[in-house]
Amino acid sequence: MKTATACFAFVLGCLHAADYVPIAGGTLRTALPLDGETVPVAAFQMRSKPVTNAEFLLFVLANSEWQRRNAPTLYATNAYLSQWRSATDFAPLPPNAPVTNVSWFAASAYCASEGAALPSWTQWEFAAAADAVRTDARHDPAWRAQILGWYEKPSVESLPDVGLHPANIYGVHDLHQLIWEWVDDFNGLFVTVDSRAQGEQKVLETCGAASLSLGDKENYAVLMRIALLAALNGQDSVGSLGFRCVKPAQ
Amino acid sequence: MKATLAMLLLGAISAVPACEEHQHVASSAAAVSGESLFQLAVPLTDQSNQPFKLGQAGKKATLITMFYGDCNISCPIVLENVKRTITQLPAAQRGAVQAVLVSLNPGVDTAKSLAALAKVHQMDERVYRLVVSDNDLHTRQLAATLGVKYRRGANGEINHNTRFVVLDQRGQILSASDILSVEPDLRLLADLQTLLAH
Repeated sequence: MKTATACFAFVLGCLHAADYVPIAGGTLRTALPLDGETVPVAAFQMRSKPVTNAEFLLFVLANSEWQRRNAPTLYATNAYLSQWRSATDFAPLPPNAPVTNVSWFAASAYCASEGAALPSWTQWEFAAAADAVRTDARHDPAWRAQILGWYEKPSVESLPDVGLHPANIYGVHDLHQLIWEWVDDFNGLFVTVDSRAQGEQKVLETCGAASLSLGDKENYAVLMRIALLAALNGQDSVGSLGFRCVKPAQ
Repeated sequence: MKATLAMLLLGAISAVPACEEHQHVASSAAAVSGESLFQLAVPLTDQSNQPFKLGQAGKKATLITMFYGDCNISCPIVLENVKRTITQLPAAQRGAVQAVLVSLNPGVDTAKSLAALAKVHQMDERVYRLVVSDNDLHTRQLAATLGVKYRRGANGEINHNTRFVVLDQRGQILSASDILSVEPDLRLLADLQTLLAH
């Protein structure tokens, strides 16, 4: 019986293998400069869509230590997958909606199970700078306004399916206007100076004036993401926070 | 119809390696529970080039922080803080503490360089363990459980916050301090002494 279940999951997993698209990389004018305004981004592959409830269910079925009743609090708070009906049933959420309420540790383990990793902040930012026709649309006020529009919409009870927004020039969907997304180095954001300047850093982290140390101050949509991620712990789960994975370039 | 079926089958075959990875991960992960940092499966190597696991020494308390060897700015202060914290404990209590200094710089800091650093700072290996993990992901996992934030610059410098954490015998976080100073945080020191006195 155990074998039968495993085979079932095996077939489902194989037929719905995640789609990764190549991203050529290049020089990124980053919103989070460290030394210099630009950073080089090496070529990589990114999941075309965020991980869905159905995909995450397969993961927890194959890796029972990541079911919500089993995951240690060191890796996930009580909010982890709390909107699912049970540890192995994502109802009432739709199968193709992005999975949310997953901790950084859980998201990271999922990506490892796909032979992948969470994107670094700069990889995510690089991919998310594109629109359908340009690799960097960030200077376009119309594009910025469209993305900011998402934040003005009242939040809905249930997230829509992934892939409903048009793909960007790389073939990647939903980098904006659907969910927040974990990045691999979420606990590296905002740390812009060495720890000698810690007093000042602490003030910046808590008072919201941290944009003083950020590039691209007009890009509020990206700054809001940085602020959210910087405020999180790896164990935290948020209802609008999901993830996708990346792999090295082929 | 035939073509669709062929494509489905082809898809299934080409995706087999991904499924094997799934199973590999499932078999290698152990069941763990609770908040204890001792359950962290992050591989670490100490200054004697031996595998190191948090909690392996069975000490009553663990004082843990993160730093890196090439850091000339805040890290000497971090090392000095840890030394003074240990030194200010009554001599009878020192044997019940392990101080663990974890490198933020795997690949650059090695058992050899950590051993040299321990020698320069006169850190007795019975009390002090300078350890490094095998890669950045594992280092980041440990940092995330401790509340350490860091970011690597293109020039090799690592920007990080300072955090000293006291773990009890079960690996639970008992006390933490974010104050960068050569002098011990008095609250953290008091918490450590209370733990050791019991």
